Amino acid sequence: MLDNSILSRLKKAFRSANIHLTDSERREVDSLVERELQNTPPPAIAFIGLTGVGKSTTINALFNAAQDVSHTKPMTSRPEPVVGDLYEYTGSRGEIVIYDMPGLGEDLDADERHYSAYAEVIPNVDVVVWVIGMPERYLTEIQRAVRRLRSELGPAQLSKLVFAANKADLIVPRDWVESANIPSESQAAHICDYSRSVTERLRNSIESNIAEPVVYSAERRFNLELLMRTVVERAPRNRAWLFGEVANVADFTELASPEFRAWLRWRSEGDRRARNNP
Amino acid sequence: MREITPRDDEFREIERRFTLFLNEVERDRELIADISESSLRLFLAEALSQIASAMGYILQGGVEFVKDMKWSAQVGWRAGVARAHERRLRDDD
Repeated sequence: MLDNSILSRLKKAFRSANIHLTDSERREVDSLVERELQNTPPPAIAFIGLTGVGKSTTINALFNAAQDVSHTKPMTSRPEPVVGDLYEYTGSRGEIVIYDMPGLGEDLDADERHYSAYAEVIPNVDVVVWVIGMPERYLTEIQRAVRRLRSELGPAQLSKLVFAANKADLIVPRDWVESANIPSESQAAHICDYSRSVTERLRNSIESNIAEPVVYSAERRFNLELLMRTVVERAPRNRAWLFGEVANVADFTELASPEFRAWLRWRSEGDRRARNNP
Repeated sequence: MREITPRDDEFREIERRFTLFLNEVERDRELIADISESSLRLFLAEALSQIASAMGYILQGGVEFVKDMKWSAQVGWRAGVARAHERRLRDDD
């Protein structure tokens, strides 16, 4: 899991920079480093979004997590003693703590409870992914919530926020290129327009340095690497590596048609032959 | 949803866009790896510095080591620190 070559290089460096250390002191340093690594809490991330925006599918697509995804019973509706639904997922590459938190706008009283939950959870996680279901254009609830969170938690907490717009495949004119598993040209143009429009509105209403939303499709595995990159970038600098360790992003090319993949293989083999026999 | 095959006229264009997107995906993967490595180095350097300090020793140059990763990865901590220090002095000049 951990890149042991880096760790052993650091240990070696520590020894050579402190040649006066005795063997037992060196062993003590090694065991302290190991303990420090073991005691580091796993990465923690909160996903906020309305029922049906695809949070669970997103979690599985990013971490290949061994958590059942319910399509019939929304996971966020389960009563839990803790705020939000807390899952300690074990992805295929390690442990990660995930809060699956309901979105706003379904019920006024529930919204108040959700606000309290956000205020409690956000300071305790590394990153918050606010999932919007495309082509949702009404951002009023999100704008209001983020403004309120900024005033309650302070602006520093906003730097953890990643806005992510799921279901890019459903954007008009809904002519996703199935064979290559990419958006059509007109969908790509609409994705750019959508992203620009959401960015402008969030920046105007909340803060000028809010990052552009990541437009992706968990179902089609489209742009998941960009989403993971944004998560890693938003994580605290000395904890971003924990996300790198547990990331196991689903490969979008696996959903391209067999014919298209066969064509690509044939082409790359042709390119290789041409390079070897100029 | 549309199914396009190599026999279709628009196939070349789809292939071009697919390749462009694939390159972006590769770049994102590289960036994730770079950020993770940089972060891990920072974490370990901080941990080692704290441990050294708790034991009554001073480990200098941790921050420079993290900043100058490429060089450090090639020749190790000491040279990396020395090199980073030189560069910093040059920048100050």
